[in-house]
Amino acid sequence: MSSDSLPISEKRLLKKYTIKGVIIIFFFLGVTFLYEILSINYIEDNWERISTNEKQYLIHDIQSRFKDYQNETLNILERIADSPELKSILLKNPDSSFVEIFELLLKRKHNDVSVELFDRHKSLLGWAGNRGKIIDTSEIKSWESSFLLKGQIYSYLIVSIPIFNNQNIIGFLIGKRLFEVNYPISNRFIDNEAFASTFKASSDGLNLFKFFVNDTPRLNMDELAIPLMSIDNQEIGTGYIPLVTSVSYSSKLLENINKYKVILVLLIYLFFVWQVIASVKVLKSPFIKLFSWTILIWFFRYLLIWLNVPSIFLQIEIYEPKYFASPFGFGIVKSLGDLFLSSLFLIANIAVIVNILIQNIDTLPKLFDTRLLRNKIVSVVLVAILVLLIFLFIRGLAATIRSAVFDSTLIYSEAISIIPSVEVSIMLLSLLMIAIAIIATIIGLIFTIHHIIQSASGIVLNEYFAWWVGAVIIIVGGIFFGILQQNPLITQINRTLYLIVLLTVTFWIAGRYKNNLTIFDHKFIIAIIIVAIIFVVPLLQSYIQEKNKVNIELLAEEIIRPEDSWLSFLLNKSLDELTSDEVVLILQANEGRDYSTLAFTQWAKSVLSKEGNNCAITYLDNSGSVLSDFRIGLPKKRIENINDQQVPRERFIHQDEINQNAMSVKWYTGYAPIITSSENVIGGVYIELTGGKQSIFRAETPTLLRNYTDDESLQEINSIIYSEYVQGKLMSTTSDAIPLNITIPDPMLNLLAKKKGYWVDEVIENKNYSSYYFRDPKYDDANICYALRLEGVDLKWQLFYSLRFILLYATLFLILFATIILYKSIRKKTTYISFRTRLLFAFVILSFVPIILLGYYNRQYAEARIRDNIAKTLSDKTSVVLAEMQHRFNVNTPVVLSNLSDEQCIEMAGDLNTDFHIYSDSYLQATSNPEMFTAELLNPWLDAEAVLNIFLKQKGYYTEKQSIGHFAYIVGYRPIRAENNSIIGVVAVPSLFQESEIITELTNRNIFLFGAYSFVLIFSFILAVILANQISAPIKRLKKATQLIAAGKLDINDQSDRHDELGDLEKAFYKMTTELKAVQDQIIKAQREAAWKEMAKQVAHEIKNPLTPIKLSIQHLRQAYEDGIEDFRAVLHRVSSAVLEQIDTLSRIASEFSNFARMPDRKLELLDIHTNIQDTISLFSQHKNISFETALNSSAALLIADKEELQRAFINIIRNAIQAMNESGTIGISTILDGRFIKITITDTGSGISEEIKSRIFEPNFSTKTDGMGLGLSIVKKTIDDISGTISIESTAGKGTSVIIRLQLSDIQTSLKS
Amino acid sequence: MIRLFTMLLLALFFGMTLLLFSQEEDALISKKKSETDQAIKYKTTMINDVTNGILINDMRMFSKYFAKQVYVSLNRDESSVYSSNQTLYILQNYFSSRRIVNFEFSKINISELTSYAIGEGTVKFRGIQESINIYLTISKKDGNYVITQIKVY
Repeated sequence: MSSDSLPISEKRLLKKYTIKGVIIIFFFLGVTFLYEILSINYIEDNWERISTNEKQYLIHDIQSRFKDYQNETLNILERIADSPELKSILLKNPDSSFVEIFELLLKRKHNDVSVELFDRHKSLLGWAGNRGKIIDTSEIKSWESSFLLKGQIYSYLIVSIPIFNNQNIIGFLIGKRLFEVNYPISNRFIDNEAFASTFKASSDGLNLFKFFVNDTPRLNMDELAIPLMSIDNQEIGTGYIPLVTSVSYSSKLLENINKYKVILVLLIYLFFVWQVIASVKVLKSPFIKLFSWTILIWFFRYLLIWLNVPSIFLQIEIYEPKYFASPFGFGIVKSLGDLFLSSLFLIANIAVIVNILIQNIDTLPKLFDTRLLRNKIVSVVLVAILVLLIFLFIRGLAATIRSAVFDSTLIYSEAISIIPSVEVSIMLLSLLMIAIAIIATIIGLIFTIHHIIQSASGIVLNEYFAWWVGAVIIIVGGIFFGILQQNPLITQINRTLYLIVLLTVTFWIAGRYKNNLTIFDHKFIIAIIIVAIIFVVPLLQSYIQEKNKVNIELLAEEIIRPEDSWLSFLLNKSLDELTSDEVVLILQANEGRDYSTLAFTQWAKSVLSKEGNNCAITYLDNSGSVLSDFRIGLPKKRIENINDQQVPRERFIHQDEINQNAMSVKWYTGYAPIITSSENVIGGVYIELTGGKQSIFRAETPTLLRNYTDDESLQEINSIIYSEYVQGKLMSTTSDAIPLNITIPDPMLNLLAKKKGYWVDEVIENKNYSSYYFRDPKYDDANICYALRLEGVDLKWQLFYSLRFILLYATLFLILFATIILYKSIRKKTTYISFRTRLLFAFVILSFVPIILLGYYNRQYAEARIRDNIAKTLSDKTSVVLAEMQHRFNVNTPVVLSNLSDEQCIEMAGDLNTDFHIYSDSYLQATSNPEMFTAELLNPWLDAEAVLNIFLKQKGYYTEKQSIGHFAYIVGYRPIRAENNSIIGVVAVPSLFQESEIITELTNRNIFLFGAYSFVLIFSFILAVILANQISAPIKRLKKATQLIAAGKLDINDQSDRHDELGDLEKAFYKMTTELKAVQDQIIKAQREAAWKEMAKQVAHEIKNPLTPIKLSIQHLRQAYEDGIEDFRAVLHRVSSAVLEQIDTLSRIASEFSNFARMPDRKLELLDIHTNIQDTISLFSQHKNISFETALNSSAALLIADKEELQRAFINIIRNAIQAMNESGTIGISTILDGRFIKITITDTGSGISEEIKSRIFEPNFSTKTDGMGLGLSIVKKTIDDISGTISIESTAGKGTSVIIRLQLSDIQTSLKS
Repeated sequence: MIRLFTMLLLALFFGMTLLLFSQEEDALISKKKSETDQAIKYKTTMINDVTNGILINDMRMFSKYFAKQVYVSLNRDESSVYSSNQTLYILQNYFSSRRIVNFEFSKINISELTSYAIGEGTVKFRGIQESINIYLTISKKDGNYVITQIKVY
């Protein structure tokens, strides 16, 4: 069969469109290339003009955005200023209405804009939101105005409006909106975008926008200066954006052109594929089809990689290697996104293979029935290869899952959220798809092995015998494979279990579908998905645990690595960064500038912050006074003012060693001068840096001060407990859960002396830990050793992680299933959903929805309870802090309060293990976390709500929720009262550092709740399945019984075992069928009897006819003999001829009856009807007076029938036609293809048939001829009926007769046509 | 013909599986056994390969020396522990936007326990010239010397 079977017109059209399409696309490609070349030249020649246009556009864009930014703020203020309540307060005596003022401002406050209210004399009346830096009231004008207030870290847009009453100013309202964040640390808590987030001003995309107020000079001459105009049209600042260079402009243009080129190339490929698919479709061999499709699919995949699609269009993080990267497959899995895409292609490939195999399921078994495969040696070799392939595929799947863990930085075991992150979900889905593909392949291989064994055995086996033989070979082979492997990725037991599962599923598929996979349905797919989940989830868990151990061992190496070189490098690098040109400019700027945050900001931008070492930075001016300092994790200041001394001119570094917990810790001190370009020393910076093992854990660095990426990996590190031992005794540990009195037993110490490190599972204070003990190889014995501990992952946790993954898979497939149903209903295609499935859905929804709702509300309630507990704890803590403060410092007057220092607070906080802040009046006096205020993460002004409730409403305790960026926490406030009971200050205790406890508590609850509810859900689902099956079973039985009855089978057994309405219905139905069967039997018996009677009558009649002349002839002969007639010989001859003739007639009658009665064995085969007709015609070639006119369709017409039986039918019809034409004439035979049918018309020019005869012509024993039994056409009709065809007669008396046969073509013919 | 294609297909499957199997092995670092007296020579070669690889922007020149897990810290970018495969791609990505103008390791310390190298150079990033420092740590693991840390500032 070739593509010639396609209608020629269609083929030509296809080729024409393809060629046209390809030519057009090539033309466009050429145009694109030309455009690229011309563009580059154009840009080079006209760069000045282009650059000017770009600048103008940028200036206009940013200025208008800035104007909008101001106007939005202005509108918010105007809404507040127009409030009649505010005006009436301002008109009355506002000094006695502070409560109303605060309440009003708090009620109307906006999230982005904090407000301050001043009276007409510009005295502050109240505020709401972040007060921050104090505004210079001389900047407040009597008209609407704005200006920029620049801070070290946060800069604000200030908009002020006067509040009028009848054209008199009664007050001023100031709105403060964040304009720029110069926050050097980027993490998940704090957004670093303010005004700059409203646009993407530069093609570079980095360091988009810096602004400076008034006279501060530009840093970089490659920047565009954009004046920023206020509401009242004054220049209030300048924004700087990196200039677009011709290189970056050209590269951006080339990037866009490249995208078009990629699209055009893909279009060419699609045309090519269109042609190939059309050709492949008509091919006969399934293997060539399979091969071609596979090549097409993977060629397309590699084309996408070569063209860098889709990352060229979508700049998304999953196409970067940071989440996952593997070099396997020449780049098809070089990122998480590529892995996902490749797994989709793999699924598509497998789907195509399965589809082709199913289409050819009838012919496939013949492939195994060959001489080659019947050869036992060849079969054994093939089976061995296929069995090995199975193991290699399993190993490949395990290697893929292992790579998903070890070649990725994804955190699979994050427990705070029930649903995994997007990246983890994508990875899990990819792994599932790969597993599905591999398992489908393995099942195919198992089927193949089964068929080979069957063929090779050469006998008709018991149905299960070949399966059992294959199963034993595979399992035993698996055991040997495991033994022979050097580094098995799966344990022996797991491999055997997986093989058993695979074999069971394959067996189930074979048993259910009995090798007829044309009826495979969703159950087949669900079975494979379940098996895939069984593979993926446990393997993933085991590799995650393995990786945790590897990470701990890595951490151990990091801890014992000699750090001198690194600390020295770090210190030198930090000194370079902290004395950069930027610092020189800052110090050279105005006198009186606030440098308080200088040390923090420079630390945050430097490598010190990135590496997280404990350190202290101190900036000095040229006279040796401390300008700014910042410290993380170092206990006390070592660098004080060196007054009256010039700072040194030379850089130096020196190293000390201090004792800390009986361990010596390196302490590096470095100094570098800050020198201007004219070689003047204007200051200096000291850096103190420690090593120490604990710095790796960065315990002293608050969460909010950690960088984003460190934060993610540190989530895991922070769950590890680090302990130090000297001579087996625990000297220090990072967790309070480990008591200090534990020791390492001597046998373990001896083991440690010999080995670098080893793992131990231990129980400490009733908690399970996996501990890694190791020593520093610099020391020969185990005098000093360390331990890294992870809390053991018990069954509860393992179950939680597994159920999380399964829940994700279940959710995804539910969504897919719902999408398919929705799609079909939109397309108005009827979807058959069985009664059992509907019942199951109903039960599932009825049970799941309440459980899920209950679970959700339970979780919310649990969260609220935790927060309530924390609020109560805060209340207790504030009381304790207040009491201790009074006890230590006797704070009962404002003077005493004003003398409190940060150091006193730090010491007290250390003793109480509680951080707190003290406010004097409404401003920060002292705190135990000065770095949080230095970093401007916390506001030194007391929050407006606290002012209102504590100072104004005089509450004894107040708590509120606050946030820093996305970091939410609770703060408790208590008033500090003087001796006369007046409130002189406030103590505030934040839950800032208890968030981790909240998260831990929530996580534990999540695990418990999730685990418990998952069990309930699973149990409910199983129960729903059982109930649905039980209720729907009688319906299914009735349905099946009805189908059997429709097929004519009435001998159905009563299978009802129910005692309810459905059981009664079943019983009545079966009774009905029994009665029907009895009646049917009676009818059949009567019909048979009648038929036999008729037959017997006919036989008797037919036999009698020739017997009469035989009798007469014998009588005549006897008489002639007795009469002694002379010509007796002639009489004898005559009589004997007559008798013999009658005997022949009797014989013919007997044969015809025999043919009618006999049911010959049919041999159904695929045949071409045209060939059959041609062969039949050739049988009549000896009829010289009979000619045939044929008009047969040029295409083959394939159908399944018995070739000889069909030929006999045609012979019969043609013979009748010849007889009707009196052995002379033309017989016309034509065929027409009509969809799935073929219409064959045999026409003669005989005498025709009357209507009366026509109606009976197919009855048995009906004949218009004198001889014959009248059985020919009834046999023809039976033949046609048996192959689901129809036969009819059209005839006109005197003109001729047409016999019209309509036969159904086979599916192969139908698919060829389509 | 059908039998021939059947055999061909089976052979293709077998070949692809072997390739999968061998690639998985290739993805691991090739462990070269070095004798103690050649350790220094080996590390020197390693550092030379790193230098040359950075200069010509071909990370594959020294990717074979990566440990199974490498701590990578990149300036203006992320830091984490990555597998050797990821490290290769991450460095390729990082240096694809940074054209090396010059680079050399100015300080190399090779010892039995831990070796390190500190390099300095200049790169061009988005048209702007910047200095670059690279700190490399080489450790002994499973009898082989491998790169365990790469810090780029």
